[in-house]
Amino acid sequence: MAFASDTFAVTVPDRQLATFDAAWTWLAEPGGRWTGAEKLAMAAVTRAAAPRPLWDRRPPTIEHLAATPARGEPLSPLDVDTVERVAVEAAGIDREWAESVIGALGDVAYAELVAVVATIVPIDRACALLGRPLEPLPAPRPGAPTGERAEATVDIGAFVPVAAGFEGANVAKSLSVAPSANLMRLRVVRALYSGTRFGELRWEDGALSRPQVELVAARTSALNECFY
Amino acid sequence: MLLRASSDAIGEHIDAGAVVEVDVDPGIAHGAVLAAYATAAHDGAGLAEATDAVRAAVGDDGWVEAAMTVAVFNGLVRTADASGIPLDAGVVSATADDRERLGFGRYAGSANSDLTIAGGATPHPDRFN
Repeated sequence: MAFASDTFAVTVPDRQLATFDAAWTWLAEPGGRWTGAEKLAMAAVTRAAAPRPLWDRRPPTIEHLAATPARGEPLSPLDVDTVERVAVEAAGIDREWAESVIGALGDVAYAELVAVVATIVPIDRACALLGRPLEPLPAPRPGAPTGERAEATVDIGAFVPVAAGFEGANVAKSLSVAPSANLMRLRVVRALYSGTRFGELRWEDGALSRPQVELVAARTSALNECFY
Repeated sequence: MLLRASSDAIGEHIDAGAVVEVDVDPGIAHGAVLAAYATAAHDGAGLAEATDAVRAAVGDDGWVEAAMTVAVFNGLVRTADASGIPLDAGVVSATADDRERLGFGRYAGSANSDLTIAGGATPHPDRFN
């Protein structure tokens, strides 16, 4: 186990540690549109991403970014720019930009890319906040992308379609066009936040009450300028 | 919406202004300490002091829960904003007053939702699951 309990200075619930390990395995595996090496390269870009300085707040348009990787590079300049924006400027993403990128990458590839960022960011943030060094990224597992895509999709007004018949609110189904990727990042959400008790307003089995957790969640969302 | 509903459920009455205003007392147990921790975790400034305060107030298990909540919502906000999902219909009407008061309409992501919806289905209870 990469995330063994004794690598943390405090007690972290086993279900969370197991989820972190599962995420590490998932990151290294081929996905629907990306290889394991490409997903891990995205994770590395996410870790290195930083907000653009004030003098450089007009990033290149996607027409100026090559959509194919340079020789020997796992990701194209467009891939890298997209990962960086999701990692550090997500609140500024608008429909025009998103649809341009999705037109170039494809909806499954975009959803999977977002899921990679949305999986590694919480794990890294948890480690940092609990005083643990970031876990080195795993070695990629060989294999081609699986081609997986939701069998049927519907448009709910988001930038990407969602799986038809997916039960849950919009944020749960948001990346479901890439089913395995969506399930992985939802597993992280479930392990770190609500478990199986989301519908319960009273949480009496933890150290914090539900309102205490929701206050931290709401303040965090507001600081990130997230409307949803 | 969940903040208000869950605090009402246990007889505490949250001041939702504390979500965005650091000087507002949330009105729930250790709310000010937890909100300050969330801010420090985001900004980096004063994190060591905020961590000490959280551990003193709610113990190490509470600190871990607060840290995990900050962590997971840093993933959720990126998912929501990058996917452009609209608010669920039931949330649009239920949160209108708080959105107005807290100024959430200034966030770019507000363009992804039709805020003129007057009603709608209650959000699915397994929203994140």
